Amino acid sequence: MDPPAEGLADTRGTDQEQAEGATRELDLRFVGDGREYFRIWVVNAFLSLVTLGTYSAWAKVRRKRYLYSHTILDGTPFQYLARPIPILKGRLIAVAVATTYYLSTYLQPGTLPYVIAFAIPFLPLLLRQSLAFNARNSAYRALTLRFEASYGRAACVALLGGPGLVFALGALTGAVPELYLAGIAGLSFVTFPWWQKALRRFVVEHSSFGGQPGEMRARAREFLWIYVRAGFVMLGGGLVLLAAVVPVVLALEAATGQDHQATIVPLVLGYGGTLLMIAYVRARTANLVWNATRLGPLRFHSTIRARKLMGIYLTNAVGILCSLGLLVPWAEVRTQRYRMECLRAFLDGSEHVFRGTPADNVSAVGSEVGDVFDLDVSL
Amino acid sequence: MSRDSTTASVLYFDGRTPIAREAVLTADGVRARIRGVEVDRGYATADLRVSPRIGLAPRFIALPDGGQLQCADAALPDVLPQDEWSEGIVAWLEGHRWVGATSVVMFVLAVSLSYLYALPAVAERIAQETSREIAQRLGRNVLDSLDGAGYFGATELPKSDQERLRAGFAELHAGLEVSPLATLEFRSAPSLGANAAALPGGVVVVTDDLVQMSHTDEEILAVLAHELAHAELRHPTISLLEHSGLAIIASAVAGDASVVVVAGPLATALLESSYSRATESQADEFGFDLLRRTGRSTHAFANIMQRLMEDEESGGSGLFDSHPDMKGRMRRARDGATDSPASADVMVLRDGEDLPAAIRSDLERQSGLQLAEDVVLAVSPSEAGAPGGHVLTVRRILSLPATADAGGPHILDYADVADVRKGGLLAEEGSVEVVTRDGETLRLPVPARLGWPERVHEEILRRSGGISVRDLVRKAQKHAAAGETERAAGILQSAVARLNGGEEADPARASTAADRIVALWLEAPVDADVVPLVRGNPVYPMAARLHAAEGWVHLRYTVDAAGRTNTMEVLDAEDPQGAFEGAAIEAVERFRYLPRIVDGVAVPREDVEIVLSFDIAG
Repeated sequence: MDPPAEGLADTRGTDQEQAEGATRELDLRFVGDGREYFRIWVVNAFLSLVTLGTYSAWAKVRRKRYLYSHTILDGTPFQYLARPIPILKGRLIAVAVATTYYLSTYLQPGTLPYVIAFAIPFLPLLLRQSLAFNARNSAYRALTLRFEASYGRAACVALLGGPGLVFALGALTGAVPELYLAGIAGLSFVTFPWWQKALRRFVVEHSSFGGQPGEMRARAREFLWIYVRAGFVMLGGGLVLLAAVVPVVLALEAATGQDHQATIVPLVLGYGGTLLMIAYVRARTANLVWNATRLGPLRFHSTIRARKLMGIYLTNAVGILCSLGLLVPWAEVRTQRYRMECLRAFLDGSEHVFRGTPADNVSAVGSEVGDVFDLDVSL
Repeated sequence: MSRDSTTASVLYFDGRTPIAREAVLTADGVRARIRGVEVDRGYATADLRVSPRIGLAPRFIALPDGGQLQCADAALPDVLPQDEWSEGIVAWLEGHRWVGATSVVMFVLAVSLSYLYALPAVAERIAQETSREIAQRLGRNVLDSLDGAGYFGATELPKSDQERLRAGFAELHAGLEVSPLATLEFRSAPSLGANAAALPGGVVVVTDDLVQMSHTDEEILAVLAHELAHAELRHPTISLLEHSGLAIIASAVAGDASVVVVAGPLATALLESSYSRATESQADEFGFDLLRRTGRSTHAFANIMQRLMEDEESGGSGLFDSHPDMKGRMRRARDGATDSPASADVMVLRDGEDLPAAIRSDLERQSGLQLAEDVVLAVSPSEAGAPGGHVLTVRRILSLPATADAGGPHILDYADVADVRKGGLLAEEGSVEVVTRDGETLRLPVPARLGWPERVHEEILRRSGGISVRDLVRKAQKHAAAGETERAAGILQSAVARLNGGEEADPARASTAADRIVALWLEAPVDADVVPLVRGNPVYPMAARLHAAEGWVHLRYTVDAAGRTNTMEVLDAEDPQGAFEGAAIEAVERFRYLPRIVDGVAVPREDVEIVLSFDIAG
């Protein structure tokens, strides 16, 4: 999840200076530096590697801390408070789930629907807990973000569309004729934009900061438009990439005398095109969602340019591949910086409306171990 | 405050509203004081908690009553109790350059090492622990899904072929650990072309196209031996684990799956191919052992690889994307052979390809020749007792005996080849017959399966210069049957010339050549009249020459069913010395004809007439 957009603040000076009802822009920036972050990242990556991934939960905390604390709103950085253990728990669960799924696919395909059926009730729970965890561990000026949602609402979002629905359909394989399943899966593909909207809305409107709930007013139609265009982007982008890559491939063939076309061309078309499409969707969706989000008197304006983001994603991918992954921190910083550059925050009114209860206070965040149900399976 | 207190300017948050208030923090070992416009609070220093250092970001100091301080100064917070000591250590590490530099080096090393050694080792370990039964279940599931997805269809191979190959397969895996579970599956897979694969748990799949492409059972069994090696060494299972492991490592390293999701699959796909080289070598060696153990030749492996390579180049799909180093593997197959071509199956080499040293010396020893030229084909059936290896080089045919009593090696230049034809094709057995200009016949038994004699025949034909004598004779027969006797005779002249090597007809050789052609003619008789084959000029009698006498002789004779002349009769002559008649008769006696064929049977032809003239000038 991106660093929280909530939180608003008063800058230096006293509150009396603020007139009620006036709109003020809040300074929002990302001050992370690639080199500095690299040092942090590489040490953590190395430790993760030698501990076979166990340290990765701690690494994630460090990473998020860096990103949060270098995102500054109105002079104060955000804070990431999480303890590593709940994250580790989440990861272990993810590993266990993946292994079970994997094994059942290969060894006992017949049991797969039952395994999935068993897992389904937990999906909304995982979704909700992760969102709540992330929210509770995101803080600004000693107040944390909050996320509260009922199981029912979480289930609607998790299971009635998108990947969750397809997952649920998996449970029905064999019990229901494949044609119906394919039909419903196709339907979920077509209704993906609506589901995206539902998901975003779910996240924003169940979040709150200092007692002020979030609102998101984007229309589903706008999401649809994004995805329709994205399809063209994928095609067009893939072809453009191909045109750029073909001379290289031909030169390579001439040099080594081997036929690479069969492997490289679909790779470039497929992955390259998908990458560009993802970048496009993310850029447009970010703009759409930010522009439609309000948190009390706080509102946002995002002007991410899809083309620029696609370029960033593309060059990041190439850089990461060529550097065996060492350029990952630079890529992250670069992406984050651009996003923040394009995001502006406005305060329509007074920050005094934000008033936290003791439960919202940073000190109320759980201890090192956390609650039993405290876990984070998000990426 | 005491003398050793430190001061810093901070922002104060009360913990209930997100409002920042400027203040000054003063702290010593015991007490801390925060003072600002609306703030005046005191705490015990020990009750303060400072957040871990992260880069150069401002740090936060948590106050016991829920408030917080934002402190830009990096030094002061270190005085206060740390919030998370473990992070403190890591932060310390991160802060030092040399740690960062070392980490980079160690990171790259660790990634490379784990990819090269740790991952395969772990995957292998896990695979060893997995029971083969489980692996087989996995393999069967994969096969079922491939069947279901339409990649594989039912095989169209005849049952007899399947039985034979199954028997060979069983022989190969006898005694192996995977033996009880090893199964051979035949499938039709047009989209995959000629292919064979080992699935987990001893399931070996071979496509119909591969069987069609092979020329002998030995070649398929060589491939199966290789696949059995994979199965026995658990490579399919290990490979599966490695690929999953790679994905996991990548995620762990990047720490953030969203980054990897993008770059990951690409990287894995690119890296995939290099994994196979080492495992393929291992499987090769093991497979060769299996072949040798069951008395089979590894040459067959090289042969089928050759065929696959040629097929691949002509656009067939192949096993090749992850099968690099084909030439090296073929060389190793041939070098590792414990037999020479004499007992090997068909060895297919390309022009310009080096004959393995051991085989070359073998050949040279047997033939007594210095093989300076490239070997084109080395052919031999594998049945014991049959004559040994036959090697076609660029310039010669070598027929090398398998046993001493089969006669010495025959060595034949292509220039000496008068004719070549495919011999009888009974079941598995075929042969190519090479006829020399001297009329000798060299028979090379060649495995008949799927047209090998054809291949050898073509090769010899090509190298000995094109149309064989037989073809010429057939052509002549066509003309003769159409009544174009002169044309037929003309063609037969060139046939004779071919058999004579283009030299002046030596009577002795001409006779042999004529015999050969007559034999060819009678081999496939076509109804036609007699065609002159050899009509040498009469010898000018010495007496007549001395007297510069000229004349002519008109003869009538019969051409018998063997094409020879008899019952000659002088009808008329102009013969001053009386010497011409004798000379003419002698000449005609040596004439050779293709006999008359009526209803497919050679019959004598009577009343053939000729006038032989004797001129000084001619």
